[in-house]
Order: sequence, then C-alpha cells, then structure tokens
Amino acid sequence: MNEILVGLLFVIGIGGTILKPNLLYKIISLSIAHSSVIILFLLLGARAGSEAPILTDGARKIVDPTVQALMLTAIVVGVCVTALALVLAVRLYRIYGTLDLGEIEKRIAEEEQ
Amino acid sequence: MISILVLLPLLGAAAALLAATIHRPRLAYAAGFLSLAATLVAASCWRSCLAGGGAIHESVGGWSEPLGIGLTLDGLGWIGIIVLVGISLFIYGHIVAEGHSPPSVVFFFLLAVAGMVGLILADDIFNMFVMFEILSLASYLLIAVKGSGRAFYASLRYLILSTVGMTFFLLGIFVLYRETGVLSLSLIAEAIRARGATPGIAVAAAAILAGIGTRAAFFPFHGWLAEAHSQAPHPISALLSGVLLNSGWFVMVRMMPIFPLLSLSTIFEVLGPFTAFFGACGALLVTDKKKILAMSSIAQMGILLTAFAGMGGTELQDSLLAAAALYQMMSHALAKSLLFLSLGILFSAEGPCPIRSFRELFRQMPLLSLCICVGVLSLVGLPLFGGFPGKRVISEAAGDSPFSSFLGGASVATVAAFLRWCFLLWNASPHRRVDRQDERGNLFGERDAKRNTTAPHRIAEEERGDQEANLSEKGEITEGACCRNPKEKGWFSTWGIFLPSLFLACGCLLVGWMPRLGLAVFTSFLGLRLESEEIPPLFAPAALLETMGILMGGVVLWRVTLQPRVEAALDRFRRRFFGLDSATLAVMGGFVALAAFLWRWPIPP
Repeated sequence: MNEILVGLLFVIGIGGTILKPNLLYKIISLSIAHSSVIILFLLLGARAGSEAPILTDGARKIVDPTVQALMLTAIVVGVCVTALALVLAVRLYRIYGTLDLGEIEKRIAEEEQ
Repeated sequence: MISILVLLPLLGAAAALLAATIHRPRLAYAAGFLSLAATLVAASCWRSCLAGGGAIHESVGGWSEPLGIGLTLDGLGWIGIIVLVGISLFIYGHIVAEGHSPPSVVFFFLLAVAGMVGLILADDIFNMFVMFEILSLASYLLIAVKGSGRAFYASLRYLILSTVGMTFFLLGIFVLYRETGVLSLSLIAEAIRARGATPGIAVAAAAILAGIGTRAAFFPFHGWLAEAHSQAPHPISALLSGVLLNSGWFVMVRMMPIFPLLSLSTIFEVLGPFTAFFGACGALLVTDKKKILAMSSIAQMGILLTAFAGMGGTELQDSLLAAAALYQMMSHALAKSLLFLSLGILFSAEGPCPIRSFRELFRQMPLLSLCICVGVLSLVGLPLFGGFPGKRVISEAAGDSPFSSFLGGASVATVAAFLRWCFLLWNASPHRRVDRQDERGNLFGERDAKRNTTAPHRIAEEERGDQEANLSEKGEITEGACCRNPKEKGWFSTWGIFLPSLFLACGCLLVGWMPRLGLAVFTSFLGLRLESEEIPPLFAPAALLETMGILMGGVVLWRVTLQPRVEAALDRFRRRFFGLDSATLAVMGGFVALAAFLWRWPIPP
C-alpha cells in the first residue's frame, strides 16, 4: 500500500515535469520524483526493523543501514542538482524576463530563424 | 590502489581551485595538466598486469564485496581510460592554449574527467550512479560557461532530462536491491541467474537502460544532446561529445552481463540501427555546424549500440565485437574531438587580416584543413581511416537482422551530412559575434548577466552592423586585433593551439592504417577467445565496393537536399523546435515501451 502511494508520488513528479510550463514548478516536480524514489528505498530498509541503526547494546531490530547510507548520498546529489537548476532558472529569468518555458523556447526558436 | 586513477584528477581539480583563489591562473593550468598526465602515467603502470585478460579489483575503504564500493580495472577499462583521458589531455591543451578560460573551467573539466574514470572503474551499481551524477554536475556547468541565454537553456534542458534519467536509474537500483539484496555487479548477475527472469527484473532492466540511455543518447532519450553540444564552448563540446558520451558505452558493457536471460539483444538489434539512422538523418536536417556534429554523435552511439546486438547471450568480453566496438569508439572519440577543436581554432583564428571567408583561411592554414579532412573522412568511415574497421565488423555482425539496412542508410546520410558540413564551413565567415561570446564575460567571469544575446550560427548571412555594435561595446576586440603580431602572444598561444588537433589527426590515421594489426593487438590484450582463429578480412573487394556505393549514395543524397523544393520542405520541418516537454515525454515513453517489451518477452523466443 505504501509503495503504491509512493509510486503515485513518482508519477506526479514526472508528470509535473512534463505538464507544468513554469520552470520553478518543473524543478519542484523533479525534486518530488527524486524524493519518491528515496522514500521507496527507505521503505525497503524499514522492512528489516524500525529502530535507528545505532549500535548501543548489541544489534536489535534496526533498519537496514546500507539503505540509509545510500540514500544520504542520493539526497545530497538531489540537493546539488536542485540548487544548480534553480541558479539556471534565475539566470534564464534575468535574460528572458519570464519563467515560462514555452515562452523561452519560442524566443529561442525565433532567434534561430 | 586503482582508486588513485580517480584521485589524481580530483587532486588536480582541488589544486586548480586553490590556484584560482590566490589569483594564479597559470598555476591552475599547470596543476590540471600535471594531474591528467599523472593519471595516464599511473594507468600505464598496470599494463603488464592486465595483458591477456587479467583484472584488478579493489574495495575502497576496506568494505568488501556485497555492499562496499568496488573498483575493477580490466583490459577493456584500461584501454578506455588511456584513450579517453589521453584525448581529454589534448582537449585540455587546447583550452590552455586558447588562454581565456578561467581556472573554474579547469576545475570542472578535471571533475568531469574524474567522474568519467570512476565510471569506467566502477564495479558496483550505486557507485555508478554517484559517478554519473559527478559527471553530470560538471557537464551542466561546463555547458553554461558561455553565459548566453541559449547556453543556460541548453544546460537546464540537459539537467532536467538527465535527472529524469538518473531517477529511473535509481529506481532500477531499488528494484535490483529489493530482489537481490546486493549491490556489486557480479553478485547481482549471479543472483539473477539463480532466480530467473521475473517481471521485477524486467522493469529494473528497463529502468536502468532508460537511465544509461539518457546519458549515452540512445534514440528516445536523446533530446538533450543537440542543444547541449551546440551551445557549449568548442573545446567543451569536444569533451562532451568525444569523451563523456563514449563513457556511457562502458557502462553498457558492464551492465549487459547482469541481465543474461533477458532479450536485451533484441532491443539493441532494433534500437541500435534506428538510433544510427535517426542521428544521421538529424545531421542532414539541421543547419548549425555544431548541431550537425552533435547529431552525428548520436548516430555513432547507435553504431556502438548495434555491437551489443551481435552478442546473443554471450558476454561482450568473449567476442571480436568487443575489440571492434572499442576500436570504433576510439576512432569516434578521436575524430569528433578533432572536428570540434578545429572548429574552435577556426572560429577564434586571428591571422593576417582581413579574413573574409574560410576560403582564405584554408589557404593560410593548410595543415588545419588537412586535419579537418582526416576527421571527416574518419567519421564517414572511409577505408584507411579510423572509422572503417570497427564499422565494418559491426555491420557484418549485424548483417542478418532485418534492421541492418538502417545502418547502411545511416552511413549514406552521414556522408551527405558531412558534405553539407564541409560546404557550410567553406562558405561561412569567421569573426561572428556569437563566437566571441566567451571573451566577453562568461558564467564565472560574472559579467553582465543581463545581456540579451545572441544570434546563433547562421549559414552565410552576416550582419556586419551587429559586429560593429559589438566591437564598440568592448574595445579590445577591434579589427586591429587580428593584425596583432603573433610574436606578442608567445609561441604557445599561436602554435600551441594547433598541436592537440594535429595529434588527434595523427591518432585517427594511426587507428585506420593497420586495422588488422590493431584488432589483433586488442584481442590479445583483452584475452578474447575468437571463434575463428583470425580476424575477417577487412579490405575485401565486397567491402570496398560497399564503401564506394555508400559514398556515391551520399553524394546523390546531398545533391537532392540542395534542390530548392526539398530545401523548402526541410526548412518547414526545421522550424519546429522540439521542446523540453516533448523530450521528457520521450524519455518516459521510452521507459514504458522498454518495460512493456521486457515484461512481455523476458526471454528471447
């Protein structure tokens, strides 16, 4: 059940990237899609147990620590990419005056002619 | 110990950034050069260990196999590292000789090279993801260096499409981890072989293929390439198109053995020739010089993909196609980088002035035009040049499938496209405003982000008025600049910029002259077992006749596209600009199609 909901998040994310014309919405949707895959991994890790993977007195029912390590990396990567995307969006706004991707592409196509 | 190959470019990058903060750009350039050269020297230390098919494994940090970071250096990877890092050394030399890139560009260049080396060495799947992302981040910034609106758009387009692809890749890793519980490639392969091809594995394969396809520009996932490679500065285009794109092929080689029971070879049989055909037709349609080269990169990646189709269940390592595909990759990397670097030299050429057209330029720089000829003929696939042997072996291997005619069509269209490219180059005029863009303040120079830019490359229409206005904005680029005495700029800046292109051209020729010897060296180095004891004859009369036929077909096609009616029809098609949304939809659609196909037919019939 949880995984179906997360799959829905993924579809919303990718759909938002395709359907929303505003650049900021696209970037947010991309971030949502990325986060949904991260949540999928975390759900997988939580099957093994539910306690934080900190070893106090012997191993108990901890979540899978590998998954947590991998997802920390993935989250960092996602943050970097989102930050860079936002910088590019700001620069595009300064040059073209609009955040609407259709508008920007129309101007670029006109320049190309 | 192998991790030193990844560490050296990273150390160079750090040193370059440090030199940038103390305002010593020359130190940064030197640091970059030293680190790239040191990587090559370090890699050559392992040559004797790897000859004949050996491999070296390393677990980084002492965490061993199932969950740790594994690095593997085998013969294929070694050749890849030597070739690709070597070519990036030449491209780096070009950047340094041009002289007006800030050290930040050096930093991201070295980061990209480090990511690429890590990708080739990676032995576990999550490490591949991380290296892909390192490579991507460096590439996004390198594309946007010019600072024009179009460059930012190209970078953002690449970013969004690549992130969508990498999200699919991560999804694939998720399914594989859920099914097998391990991350190392060889253990995943064993586990899948034990379980058989479940639908979950099929979806994982589709997702991973979608991810790799987005990086390596297979057919539905190619939407970012034309804009990104044409808007980057010329040496960066050379890096992206010649070097980084080819590293995607290595990832495919590593991934193929994981899914041994799936009908991936059927997919590649269809996708490879179609990608090649699509890329070649795309090259025929566009009019921008750099876009033609970019679309031709897609075509070449399609040819490399067709090599996988001939496997039919055996691993790539065990056949002649591995050596041939490696050969083709090498020649494509050399030729494509050569062409982009030559474009860079031509567009920033400052010789005796006034230079009104490239005809005069070619007369003054005959060596450069020779280099361009070598590059073009190598890409087209003429015998005695680099592109011939690999293409020959691959198309022979793909000969019996019904899609092999696409490969022939792709070759014909490539010939026509390059004829067109040569004539575009011949009639173009340098000193166009756009190509001076990077001298006027790029992304890292932080100048004037409000500039509303740029007319892109046009064929022959030239606005002198624009140029005048431009020249008045920044006084340094005057008409007199091209009359400047070459001695003032120093030997290295004037002549050093030619050296990388010369070396690359020599490489193209070397790769093509003794193909049987070269293929024999490769196969013995990789320790391949061949079915027949020798390499099939490459210069057989049938092959030469076929090449003649392709050439003539290409010339005919080119004349056809010059007809006014055809030109008008193509122009109407060209006006449709394929936006980012359709490209993302194509990636999604490609994934769904792959997943559906693999779900329905997991095992080849």
